[in-house]
Amino acid sequence: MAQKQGRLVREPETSERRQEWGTIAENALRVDRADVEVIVDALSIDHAGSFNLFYLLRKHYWTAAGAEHKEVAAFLEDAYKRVREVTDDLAIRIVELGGGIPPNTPPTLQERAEVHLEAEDLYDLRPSLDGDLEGYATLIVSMREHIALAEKRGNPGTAELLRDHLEDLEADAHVIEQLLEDETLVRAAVLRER
Amino acid sequence: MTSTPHLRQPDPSHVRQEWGTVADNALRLERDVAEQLVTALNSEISGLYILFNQVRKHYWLVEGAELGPIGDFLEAAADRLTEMTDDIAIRITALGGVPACGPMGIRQHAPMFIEEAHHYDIRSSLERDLDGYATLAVQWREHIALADQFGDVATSELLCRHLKTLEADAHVLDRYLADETPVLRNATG
Repeated sequence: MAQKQGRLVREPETSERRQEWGTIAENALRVDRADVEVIVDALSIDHAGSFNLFYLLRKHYWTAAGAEHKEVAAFLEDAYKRVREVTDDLAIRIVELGGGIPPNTPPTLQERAEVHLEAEDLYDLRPSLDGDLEGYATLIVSMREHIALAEKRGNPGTAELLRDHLEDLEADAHVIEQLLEDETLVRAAVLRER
Repeated sequence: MTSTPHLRQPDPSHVRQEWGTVADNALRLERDVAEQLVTALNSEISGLYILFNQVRKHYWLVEGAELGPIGDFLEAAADRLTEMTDDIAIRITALGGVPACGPMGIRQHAPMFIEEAHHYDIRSSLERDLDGYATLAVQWREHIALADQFGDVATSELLCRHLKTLEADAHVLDRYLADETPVLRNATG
């Protein structure tokens, strides 16, 4: 196809739409519709954010270089798989709650994501990991707010789901923070100026 | 992939390698050979990106009586696509290239379209997934021949291995879609 111009997103030719993007259907969980709309909006932000974090971590897993690359890459590989689970679970919760549709195309994802992807160039390891940590922090703060929101709206199931994942995300964020600490066995004299 | 409004851009002094460039590799493959292979493999991971997201979307949205087995299959198939993408992306870095890892890169190399964000019927959704698998399979066969022609045996082997998985998953979809059932017509009310 070598498609370089125009829209990459297309309406399939021979398909029946079961549900329009952006609409909420009835749910079988007897959650009030107004609450569903608010919660689906909130979950979509976290879903799209985790989606971008997944790609961010993966890019750095693919491209990590230097003496510490093995350890960093192994951690990022495990971490992106944990984030992938977050994305899946939030997507499925969005469907459960409102027969909503999770953001699933580049425009619908990027409109909502508060965690941002990185430009296409390859960057040094430290600023790359800084960016990952920032991504985690953005997602974590947003999920905390949404736990409070779900509780306020009488939806403990959603709050519990977010809480479960929040614990893992905070643990992984902490590992990156530890990796970035100013601490090493290597003596200063051994390090040459870069 | 319309615009890319919010890309995080670390300070330019931290750029290790620019997108679209191919540096020397440690594998003693000629630079111009590596360049062509990197372009081919970036098309692989762009296609995998699109197919992965589509398969995963269908996993999230699957409903109806066949929900269980189809959902399980799509979830596992999506994970397999992730693994292939990882392996190929890492091969790109070994060849001295930069793997496509964002909207711009995907757009430059994409071998297929992305379906709109609506929820579509399961049959046509799976047909589109199958079409995506087939598109990638054809492209990979060509790129295996390309790698062989350049004497890059390892890239060829990597693609061959994953092509087997790709074809196996395509065949499962094909079987799901076959017009065959033990259900009697008068049982469908």
